[in-house]
Amino acid sequence: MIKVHDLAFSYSNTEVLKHISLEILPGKIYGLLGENGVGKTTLLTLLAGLKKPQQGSILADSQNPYSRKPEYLTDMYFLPDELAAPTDRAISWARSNGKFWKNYSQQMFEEIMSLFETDANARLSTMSTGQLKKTYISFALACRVKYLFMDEPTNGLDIPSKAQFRSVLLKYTGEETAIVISTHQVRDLENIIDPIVILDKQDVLLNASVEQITSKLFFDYGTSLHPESLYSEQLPGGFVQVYPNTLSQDSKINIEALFNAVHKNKDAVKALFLNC
Amino acid sequence: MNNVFSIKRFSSYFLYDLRNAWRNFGLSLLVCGFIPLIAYFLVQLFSYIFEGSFINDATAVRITSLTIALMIVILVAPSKIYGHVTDRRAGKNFALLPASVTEKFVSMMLVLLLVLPVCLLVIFCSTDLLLSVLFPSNYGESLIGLLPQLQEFNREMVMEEGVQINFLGIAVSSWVSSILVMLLGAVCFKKAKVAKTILALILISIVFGILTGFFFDADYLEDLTEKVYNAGPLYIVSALNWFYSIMQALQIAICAGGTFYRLKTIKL
Repeated sequence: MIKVHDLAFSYSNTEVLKHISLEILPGKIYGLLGENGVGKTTLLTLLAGLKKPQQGSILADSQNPYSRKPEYLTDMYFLPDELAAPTDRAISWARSNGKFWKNYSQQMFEEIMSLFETDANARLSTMSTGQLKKTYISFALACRVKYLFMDEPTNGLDIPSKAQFRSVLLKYTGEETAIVISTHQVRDLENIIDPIVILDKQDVLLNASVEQITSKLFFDYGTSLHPESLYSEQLPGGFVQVYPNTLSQDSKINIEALFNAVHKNKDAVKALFLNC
Repeated sequence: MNNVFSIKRFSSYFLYDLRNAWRNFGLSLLVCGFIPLIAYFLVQLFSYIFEGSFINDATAVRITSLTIALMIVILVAPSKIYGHVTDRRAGKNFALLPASVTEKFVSMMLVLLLVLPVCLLVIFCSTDLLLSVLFPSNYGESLIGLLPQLQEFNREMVMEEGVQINFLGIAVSSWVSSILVMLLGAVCFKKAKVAKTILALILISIVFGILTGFFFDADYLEDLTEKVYNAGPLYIVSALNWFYSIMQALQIAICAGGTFYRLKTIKL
């Protein structure tokens, strides 16, 4: 388990994260959402140990990620948005890097690469952005780590690859793996992320499971506006709107609508989810 | 799990590092090793064009080409092999690869201080030896064959009994200190690593010169020089030896320590 307590981080005079506290539990796929510049990538790099918290603490199984001890590094993989493209062939690059992760499986890497229909014998330097991303995703999953941090993993993927990504993520991650995915492409991951964490400038606006969210909020796809609607958006043939679920009705979450509802009603939503 | 140093993990990392070093600098190292060949043919070509004949003794060409090869490797190799450490993309892979900072640092030292010079000298001397065998009259004796002459030169440098210059020691310590300075620059500066390192060295030299002038005035330095000169050659060599050794040791310690600290604290 990773415990983030009262975390703060700033770039020179620009404060990015402040008073961030959350827990990352095994077996869950966290969706980290937020507007541009709220610190999603910064939070992921802090979790990976690439930056040092300026205030507060991060403890991953009682270890400080920033100390970058092999014991933690071998349990963790960070997939950044921008990837290096060495001149190696994907298959040999994966083999030479993979030996440092204790649970790495070359067979799994090749299997996922073939599911992504990406040539494992191609050189990384000659790959397109999407192919490079799929290679790194395959490698990240083949490492079979305890903590997997992914920054915008679906950026650059074509439409079929996004579906393949969801499928391989569910198929190839262990039950004990905690995954944190930062994304703006919420529709790509709508059905797989749970819990959902919405970051705001210097605050966590929401950190709740899909079940908790749908028990507190109702996602209505009707044709008439609800008077208590926290957010509504016109769609062809009706509305999608979010309002408090006072009648305990079942509904299907719409992450975009949720995100906008939370942002428009920060205090109300925080109060609603106070005990979650 | 040993988080500081594990032989098994280090062996894997060292092989991984060697592979990366070869990929990033292997071809350049080969070219540097072939500099005697390139230089010899260029000199002979120009000599034939402008003089109408070939040069018979190419010793100066070879010593110059060896100096050029060493300079290129010292200046370029650290940033080509380890410059990616500061790169926003590749640096993350380096920092998060599951090996300890100690293992990564020791591997760097082995590659730059042992593998690189040995490979360069082996390629360089093999090329040189091959040319000396193929063109004995024009190329002359190989550099290895000239080593006894260096010892003779060393003997000639003896000004008084007991005074000797350790050329091997100077060569090794110069290599170590120079390449470590360039390595520190490679892991500290994000862009224009070589140029910025040289500029930084110039700045440090200026500051050091000003500080020396500030603490020791001209009269004191003149007195000191005279005292040392009057003390005799044995004393001069000994004083120079101490000064040189202390400066080299300081430079090596600062650069190695700085590199280790940078690797440990790098933020990407």
